Amino acid sequence: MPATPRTRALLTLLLAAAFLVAFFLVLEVVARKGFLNKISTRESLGIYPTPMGQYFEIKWYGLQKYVARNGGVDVILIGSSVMNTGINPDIVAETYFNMTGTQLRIYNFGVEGLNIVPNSVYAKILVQKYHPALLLFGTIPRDYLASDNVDVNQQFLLSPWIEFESGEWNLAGYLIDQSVALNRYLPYRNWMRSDFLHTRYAIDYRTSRTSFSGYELENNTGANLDQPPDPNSPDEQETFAKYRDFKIDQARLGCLQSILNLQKIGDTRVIVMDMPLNPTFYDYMGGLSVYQEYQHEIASTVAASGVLFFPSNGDPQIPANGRSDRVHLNKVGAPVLSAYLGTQLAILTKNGGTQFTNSGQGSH
Amino acid sequence: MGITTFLFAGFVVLAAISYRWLPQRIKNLWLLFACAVFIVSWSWKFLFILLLLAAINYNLGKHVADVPQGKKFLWAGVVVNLLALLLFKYSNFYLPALASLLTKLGVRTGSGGLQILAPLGISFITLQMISYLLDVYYGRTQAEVGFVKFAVYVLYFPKILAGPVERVKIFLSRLDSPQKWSSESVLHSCTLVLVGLIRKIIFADTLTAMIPAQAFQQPSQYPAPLLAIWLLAYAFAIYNDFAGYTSIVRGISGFFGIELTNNFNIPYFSRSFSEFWNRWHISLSNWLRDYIYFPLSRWLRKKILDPNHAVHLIVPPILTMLVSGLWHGLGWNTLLWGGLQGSFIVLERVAGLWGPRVALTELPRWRQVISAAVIFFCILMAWVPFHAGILPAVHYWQNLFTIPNWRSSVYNAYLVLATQNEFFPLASLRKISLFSFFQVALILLPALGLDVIQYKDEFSFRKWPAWLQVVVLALVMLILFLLFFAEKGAPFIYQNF
Repeated sequence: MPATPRTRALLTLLLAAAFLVAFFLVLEVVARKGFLNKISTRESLGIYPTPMGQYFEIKWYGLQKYVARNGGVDVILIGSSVMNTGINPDIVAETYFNMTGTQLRIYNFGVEGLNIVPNSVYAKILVQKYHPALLLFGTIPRDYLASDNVDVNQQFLLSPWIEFESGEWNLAGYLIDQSVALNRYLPYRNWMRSDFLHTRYAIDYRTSRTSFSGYELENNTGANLDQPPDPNSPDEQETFAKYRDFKIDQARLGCLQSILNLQKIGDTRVIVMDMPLNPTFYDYMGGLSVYQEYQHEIASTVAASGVLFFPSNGDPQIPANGRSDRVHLNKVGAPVLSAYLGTQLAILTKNGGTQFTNSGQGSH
Repeated sequence: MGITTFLFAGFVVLAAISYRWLPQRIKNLWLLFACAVFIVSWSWKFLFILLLLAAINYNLGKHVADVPQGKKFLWAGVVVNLLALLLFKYSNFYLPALASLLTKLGVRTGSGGLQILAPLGISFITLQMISYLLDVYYGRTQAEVGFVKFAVYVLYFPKILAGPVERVKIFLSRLDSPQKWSSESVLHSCTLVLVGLIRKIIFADTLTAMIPAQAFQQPSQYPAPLLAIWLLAYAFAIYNDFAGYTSIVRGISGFFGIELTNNFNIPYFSRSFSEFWNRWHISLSNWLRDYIYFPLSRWLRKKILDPNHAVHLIVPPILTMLVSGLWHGLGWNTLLWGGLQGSFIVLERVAGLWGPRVALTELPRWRQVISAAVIFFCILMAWVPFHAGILPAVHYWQNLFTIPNWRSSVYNAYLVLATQNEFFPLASLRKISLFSFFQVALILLPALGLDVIQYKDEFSFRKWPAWLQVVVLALVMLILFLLFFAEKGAPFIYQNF
C-alpha cells in the first residue's frame, strides 16, 4: 500500500527523532567514558547571565573538586565579590588550627555580581548537597538595596538548572543535572555571541586566579581611599545616587531570613558576617549613623533567628593599602580579615565548645 | 505570549482544533475570542484600543460608500488612523516635549514620565484600515456588514504582530471559506513553521548575537573587515528575522485554513531594485504601490502631460519610499533610508532610458549575477542608516571605505583596545578577530543555502529523498535543541515597526 503524505511525514519525523535520540545516547556514553576529555575538560551548568553565571560555575566545580580531594567540606563561605576576594580559607583554617589543633576544610563560595537574592537560593542548594557544619554569609549594605542587580538576579533564578535544584522540575534543568554530554557542550552554548571568546578568556583567567579553596586574589590597590568621596565627581555620582535615602528592602530582608532558616536544616550552623567597609564608604549612605542603623537592623534580624552575627566595628584593622576600593579587600587586606575570622571561630570553639567540623560525608 | 514559545504553540493547537470542529456560523466568533486571548496575553489595554479602532473604522466604512457624503467619512477615517499611528507609534517624539511643557506649567507627570504603550501591530493595522476605507470608497469592495468578521480581519492574531498587510476583500473571502483540513495542508503548515523557526532561531537570532552592541554606534573602534562582516550579518539577520516570522505566521494561519500573503521571496537575489521591492516585504510594497505610488503617478500625469517629464520619473518613487521610511520610524535615519531606496529606483529608471528594455530573465547569466551583486551592495549600504542613525552611519561608511582601515595593523590596534589587556594572552588576539569571521560564515552559508534551495520552489526540499529529509530534520532538531540553551533570543525586529 503506498504511503500517504501524512504517514510519510510522520515517518520522517519519527526517524529523525530516533536518529537524534540514538546520537544523544552515543554522545552520552562517549562523554561518560571520558573520551571528550581529549577535546575539552570544560563543564557548565548553563547558568545565566554572562559572566556571573560562569563565575558561579567556577566556584561550583571548584567546590566539587575540593570535596573530592578532601572528602568533604566543613565550612562554606558565601556572599558576593566582597567575600570572593575578602577571605582566604587557607588562612582561616591555618589560624583556627594554630589555636585549636583542629584542621577545618573551608571553601570560599563568594561569587562576583551575585548578591543576597541568588546567595539565598544557592546557599540552600549547597547546604542540602554538602551538609557543611558552618555556612558563613558575608553581607554588605548593597545586598539590601531593592534596585541592586535586579536583572542579574532575575536571570540567575530563571536558569533551568537553578530552578530544577530549587525544586521546580523542568526538562532542561533535569537534562543539565543528569547529562555529562550536555555539561560538556554548555561551556560553548554562547558560541554565537560577539563576546564569546572574550568571556572565555576572562573565565579562564579568573579560574587560574582562584585558589583551590575558592579564594580569588585581588592585586589592585585603591588610591585615596581615606579621602571621603566627592558627591560632585562624575565618577561618584552613580554610587551616591544608588545609596541615597538608604533603606533596607523587605524582600531582601526575606532573603536573609531564608539563609538564616538554613540553620534548621540538619546540623548546619549559620553565621552572618558584616564585611568591613572602608569608613569613607558610609558617606554614600548618608553617614555613620545611617550605617549603624542598618547594622542594628540586620543584627536584630539575625539574632531573632538564633544565629550568630559578627559585626564589623573597626575589627580587624585593615591596613591602608589593604583595599582595592571602598568595598573590596585586596591581597593585603584579605589575609588580615581571614586571620580575624579564624580567630573568632577558634574562640567560639574554645570558649563555647562549638565544633565546625563536618562529621558526615559532606556530599549528597 | 511570544510566537516562538511553547505556550503559544499550545494555544495555537487548542484554538485551531476547536476552530475546525466548530460549525461555520460560530467559527468567526471563536476566532475573535482566540485573537482577544492572544492580545490580552500582552495587555488588556491593547485589546480595548484595537477594538475601538476596529469599531470606528467599521462604522466609517458603512458610510464611506455613500454618495455624496462618503468622501468626508473617508477623510475622517484616514485622519483617525493616521492620528492613531502618530499618537501610539511616534509617541517617543512628542512625549518628551509634552512632558517638559507640562513641567513648565507646574503639572507633575510622575516618576516614570509620560508614557504611551503602543498597541500590538498598530502600524500594520492602520495601513489595513486605510486601505479598507479607500477600497470601499472606490468601490473595489463592499463595506463589511458583520462586525465580528471585520474585527477578525483587524485582530487576526497570526498577522497582528507584524503583518502581512492583508487586503480586506481577499482576507474575508478566505475567512468565509477556509481550506479543508487535510494531511497535506497540515504538512504544508508544519513545513512553513519549521522553515520559519530555522530562519528566526538558527539564522536571525544567532547573526544578531554576533554583532557587538557598539559596532553600529561607534564604528571607529573597529577595523573595516569586521564592520563589513557585521553589516552582512545584520542584512541577513533582519531578512531572516522577518522572513522567518512571515513563514511561521503563514504556517499558523494554515492550521485555521486561512492563507496569508507571502511577504518574502528571496529578495537578496534580486537583479533590479524594482524586483527587490517585489520580493521584500511584499504586502507593504504592494500597499505603497497601490495607495501612494499609483495615485500619485496618476495625479502627476493629469498635471504634467509630457510622459517623459523628469517629475514622473523622480517624484513618485522618491515620495513613496520616503513614506515607507517614515512608516518604519519617525527619524532622519529612516528618512535617509527611504530616500536612498527611492534614489536607487530613480537611477535604475534613468539607466533604463538608454538601450532597449530587456526582461531580467532574458539577460545573459553574467549580467544577472553582476546586477544582483550591485543591487545587494546598494541595499546593504542602505541598511546602515536604517539601523544606526545618521551620524553613526556616516562614520560607518567612512570607516568601511577608508583603505588603511583594512590593514592588519589597525586590526591589532582594535584588538588591544577592545580586550583591555589584562587577561588576554597576546597569541589569542588574532583568534578573536578571526573567530568573528568564522561565526558569521557558519550561519551565513547555510542561510544562503536555504535561499538557493527556495529560490525556484519554496517547498523543493519536500521532493528530496526520504533519507536526506530525515538527516536534515534531525540536524535542525539538534541545532534548535542546542540553541535553546544559549543566552539570547530577541523579539522579531519588525514587531517594533
